[in-house]
Amino acid sequence: MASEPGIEDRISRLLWYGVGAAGGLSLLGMVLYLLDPQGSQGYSLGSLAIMAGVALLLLTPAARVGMLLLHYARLRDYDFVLITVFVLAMMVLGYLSGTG
Amino acid sequence: MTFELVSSVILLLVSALAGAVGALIGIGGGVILIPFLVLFEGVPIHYAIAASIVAVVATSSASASHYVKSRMSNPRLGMFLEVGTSIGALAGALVSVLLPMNVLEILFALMAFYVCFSMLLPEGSGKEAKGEPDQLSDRLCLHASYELKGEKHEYKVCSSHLGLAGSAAAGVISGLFGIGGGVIKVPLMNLRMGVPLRPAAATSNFMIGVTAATGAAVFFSKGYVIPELVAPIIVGIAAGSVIGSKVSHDVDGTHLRYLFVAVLFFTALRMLLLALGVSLGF
Repeated sequence: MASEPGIEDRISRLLWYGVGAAGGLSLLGMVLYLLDPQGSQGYSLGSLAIMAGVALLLLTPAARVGMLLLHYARLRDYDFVLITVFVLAMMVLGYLSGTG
Repeated sequence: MTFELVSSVILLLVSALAGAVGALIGIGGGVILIPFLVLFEGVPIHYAIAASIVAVVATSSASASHYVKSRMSNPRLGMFLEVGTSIGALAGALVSVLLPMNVLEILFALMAFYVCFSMLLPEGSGKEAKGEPDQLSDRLCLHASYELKGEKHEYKVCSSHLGLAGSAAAGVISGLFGIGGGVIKVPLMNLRMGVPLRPAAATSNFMIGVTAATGAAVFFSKGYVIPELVAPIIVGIAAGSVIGSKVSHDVDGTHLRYLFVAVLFFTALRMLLLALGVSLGF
């Protein structure tokens, strides 16, 4: 019961690709920014790419919690469904805190 | 603040160094990076904390990917304790953005002194808890096993209520100061909850991604994440920690540990004095 067959590998892949894509976007953005700091269209494409990278990075752990939520729901492990929903709610409140 | 090529390269190199040292002595790079940004780059502390906490999400998720795959981390225990760390991080970050800069600097310096102190204690000191497993950890099936050198080791988790409370405190520290908080979570699981050191460290790492992302989300949505500052730090810390963990087998961390404590102590002291309005001129 304590081990989670199969789910570990999926989480591992999700985290790896999430961080990889976010890091790649940030690196690309940094290079673009250094090439053209002001941005010829009035905004910096580089800064936009970095912010997209950061947003993706911050969503990766939430996606991991979401993945576990589905996993526990499938196992009908309701204690853990409740736990994952709570954690996900805290994360969403964090994302929404600037909009209030 | 202007971000030129030179300052980006300096940031990249300093972050790489912080990431490498962090990986070598088993602590995140944030605690050393934040005072550097504040004292030497003149970055306001809230922006430095925001940059650090975003970088923490990157490094912890990358290394968690490895630990989860090798079955060293305990996802059920991690998920359970994240109830504490996530609410703590949310509260900590919401308070952090409200605090005046010098108050936050003073609190940060005090936290850094504590990190110095805890790093001077010999590793694995104190007794691993061998209490009776409690009802909650039985009900939630938090007990697990891990493999080391082909041998399977089982362990029982105890004191889950204390663990939850301690995790909430660790979350507050993480959200307030933009650090991972492994410095609290690892001894908590190891010394109080009966989790052996390696799975405790791996599970702490697993939790840090969610904890840090919750705090980082607050700083991000309130506009404290400056893209030009954050990008070289993410890239640098990530590259540094990969290099650090690759060479960690060949490097004796003891001397590095003392050097780190000395550097951290003096930067924290300088930050404290600066916040109190005392200038030493060094």
